[in-house]
Amino acid sequence: MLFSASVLLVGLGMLFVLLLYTLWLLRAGKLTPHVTVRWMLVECLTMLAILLWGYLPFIRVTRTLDDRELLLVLAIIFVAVAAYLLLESMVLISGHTNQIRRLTQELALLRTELESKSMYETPIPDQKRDR
Amino acid sequence: MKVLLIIPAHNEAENLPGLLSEVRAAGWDAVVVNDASRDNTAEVARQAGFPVLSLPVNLGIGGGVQTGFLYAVRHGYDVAVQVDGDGQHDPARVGQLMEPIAAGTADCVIGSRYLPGSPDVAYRTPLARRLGMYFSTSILRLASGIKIHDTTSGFRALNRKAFTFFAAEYPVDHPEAEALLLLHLAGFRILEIPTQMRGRACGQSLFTLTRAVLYPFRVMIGFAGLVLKRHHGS
Repeated sequence: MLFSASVLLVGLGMLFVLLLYTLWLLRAGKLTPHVTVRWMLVECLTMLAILLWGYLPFIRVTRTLDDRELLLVLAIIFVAVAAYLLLESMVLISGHTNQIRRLTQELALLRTELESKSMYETPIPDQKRDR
Repeated sequence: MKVLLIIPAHNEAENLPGLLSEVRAAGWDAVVVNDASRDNTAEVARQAGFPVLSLPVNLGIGGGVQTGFLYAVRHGYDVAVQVDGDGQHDPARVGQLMEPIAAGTADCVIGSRYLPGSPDVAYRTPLARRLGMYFSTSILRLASGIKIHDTTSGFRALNRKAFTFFAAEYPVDHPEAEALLLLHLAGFRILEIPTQMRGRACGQSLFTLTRAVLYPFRVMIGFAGLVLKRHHGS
């Protein structure tokens, strides 16, 4: 089997497993669809790129590389894509952290407001209850 | 002038009674920010007759102090003074801290332990904290040109304009030095005055060895973020 064919099979296999895992996480409600969109898009695009291996102009360039160089190029691309996705996730997490901080602060302020109001509120007279 | 003491507290049930009785004796208004304590910090503060802002999840010192600023803004205070819940800051010294603000010569006044000429010789700073402070002092000077001798001091007074600014934007983790750069970049006047601080009476400081190791990186990244944001905004 040619090296490129083994890379294609291993790559496709791994991506397929990853896609199945992503779908399982979605189904289990551990991932929200709007957060997963980019991740799924990248997975599908990578699978497409592997399937169209040899037809895409950029990938055709890799034919001139020997096996080790090709592996290195693939590893670098993989790390870059993973780092990009990680950064995207961190942006989401940072945004949500800020929202949680604001909500927590507002909740604490509201609680105190309510406590101080209830402290000064006049109690309901017992007469009404007697009726 | 309406003055509010903001007391951030995380598991400070043992230290609070003494501090709050001093605040009561000095006659200041105060709010205790209970940062998701596991002990009865909130009950202790309530029993002492002070309003308590109870955060349901731990936000850290920055988030806690910012909640206090929001409270000060909404209740129409003119001056907000940060006082640590561990009892290191003496409420009797708040008056000195406020003088430059009342005179209109500063927007933020820092109570400093290390001001040349009148350092607090009785105060013993742990080595890790001292190293962190030297680092943040140097980097603050490099980034802004201002020299603050006690960048980690949490004993600060702010006028309404300054704390309103902080109510909208305040650093979260180890905020002291970063907050100073933020103020300086926004054009606020910062002043240091000598003060004396006491050692923590009970409990342990949250500034652990791991935090001390990470501190320089956090300060550097925080400063870089502020400077980049400012360039992006201008």
